[in-house]
Amino acid sequence: MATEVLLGQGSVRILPKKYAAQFYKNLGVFGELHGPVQVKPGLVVFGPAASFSDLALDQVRTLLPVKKYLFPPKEEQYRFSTREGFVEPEVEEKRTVLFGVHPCDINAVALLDRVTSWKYPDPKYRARRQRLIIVGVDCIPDEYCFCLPMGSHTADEGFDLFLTDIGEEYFVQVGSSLGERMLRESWDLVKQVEQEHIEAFHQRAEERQKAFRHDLDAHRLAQAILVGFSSPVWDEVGKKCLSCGSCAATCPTCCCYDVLDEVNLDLKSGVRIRRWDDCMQPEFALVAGGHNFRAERSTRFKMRFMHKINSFKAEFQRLGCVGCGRCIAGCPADINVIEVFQKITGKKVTSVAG
Amino acid sequence: MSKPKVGIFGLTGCAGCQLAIINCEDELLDIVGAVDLKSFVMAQSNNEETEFDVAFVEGSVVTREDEHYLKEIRSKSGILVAIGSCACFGGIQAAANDREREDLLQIVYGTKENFYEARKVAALHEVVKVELQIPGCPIEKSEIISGIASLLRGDTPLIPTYPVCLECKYKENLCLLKERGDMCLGPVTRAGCDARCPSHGVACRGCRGPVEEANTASEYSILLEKGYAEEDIKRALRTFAYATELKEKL
Repeated sequence: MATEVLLGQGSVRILPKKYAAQFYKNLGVFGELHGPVQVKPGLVVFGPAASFSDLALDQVRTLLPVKKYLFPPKEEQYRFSTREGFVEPEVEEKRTVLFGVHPCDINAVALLDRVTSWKYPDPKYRARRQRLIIVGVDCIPDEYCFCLPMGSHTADEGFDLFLTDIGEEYFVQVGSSLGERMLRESWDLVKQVEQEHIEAFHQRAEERQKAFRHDLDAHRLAQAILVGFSSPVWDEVGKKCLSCGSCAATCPTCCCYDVLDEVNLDLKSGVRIRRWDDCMQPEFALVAGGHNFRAERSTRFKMRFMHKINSFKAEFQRLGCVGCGRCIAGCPADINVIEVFQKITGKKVTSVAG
Repeated sequence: MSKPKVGIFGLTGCAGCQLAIINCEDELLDIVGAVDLKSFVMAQSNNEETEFDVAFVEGSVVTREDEHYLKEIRSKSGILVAIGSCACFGGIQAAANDREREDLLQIVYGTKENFYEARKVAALHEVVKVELQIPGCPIEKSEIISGIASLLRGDTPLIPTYPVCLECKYKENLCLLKERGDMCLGPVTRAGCDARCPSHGVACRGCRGPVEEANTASEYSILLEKGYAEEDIKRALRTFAYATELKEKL
């Protein structure tokens, strides 16, 4: 009997690709099925995907990362009125199965999980996180990917299931007890792992690693940013930067926000909202009295990376950049972070234009 | 507390911003309930020549008459709010501000005679002191309503200080500038429109005027690199805000 087999976290199984569509359908028991969907040429977003054939699994990155499910660009905190006091919006009970999340994004969610349960817990994030089921799928990097040097090319936590493409089959890893239940739901579709599958798994890992094109040394970054604090690199980038915030909006770990009150005309009621904010905006470090701590674009850019690299490392023992390449892919001014990192660490620039 | 006395006025422009206020159909009663609307020629009769706590002024200063009228409104008003991109930055009528009036009169009317006492186009703040600006072509319904509510509360209205790109990214639109090579002015244009045009596949033309600290130089060189002619880029950037912000840069 299948149910007698103890799986548990860390268990592995093999899913033949011919059953992938059925496997995907079975996941629908656990929540609404979502995944990367090609909207038009050049545009892939995470969104509802009823069947396996709707998924764009060969695409490297979506425009917005997973955070949009956990922390929407603009959300109501609560409504307020002199009559009813504070009324919080109802919590959606719906669960979502997000399929096809790449290792960089899984690592980013794992980091957001830490940030939102750290000194100042974020109950809205936590509630949404508990209803988001993550099924990871591995990928082959493109010219903007640098998750390997950032140490985010594999995921050890933050997923319920993880699928690695090993040719005719997927190598399935269980990451949570829920993942175990999800696997059991498709028990008739999966089979035991044989030695050949393990070999294929490592072969895939080698192939993947070879596909990374850029020479970066993430271990030296924090030090190099401090050493190169007055480097001309920052001014160079500051001149090009449009302060448009595309990099922060699409960054899977950026989670700064602003809180605003929208008061109705009766002056007795309104809504408190929070919306994404980002450190590339001139107002970000503007304080009462009109002083701006980072009035120059170059200093804002530098601060962004000091936070991602130095501060995250100090506070969470891991880098705040997972190397997903979205900031490069989305920058209208073609600023390339790989190039910035290479320059700041004194390496030869290997990056292509953004 | 008595309701603040409000006047809504128009100088030279298309009157679309005043119309945008009238178009606040669901909230119109709330607006007229919250304020004492003393003058709004476009919408009501029996307008009073009186003092105003707040004056909302649309359009830009294009004629001597505009200039006198604006100064008169200013002298009678506590707070003067420029509404719309004409009032804030000069608008479309300022696009030819680098040319002599005489030449323009010759082209348009076939004579150099200045019947209308046309002058170099100015945004309101170039002529009188302006306390607040609500940009847009036309202004956004939501911004005028929340703007009035903020003023009633004694706050300054919340007008986005970030560019259209951010709202465009939030909506997960394809980047028209980067992916399609369109002449999109989103990176240098103030948000608040919810990236309306790019969401419909149309490049941003900058109708809400320049965002704070707009990096026009970078936008310019990006467009040059994409193969656009200098004159076309300048013309696009001048469309809505040539009277003020972009005058120095172009």
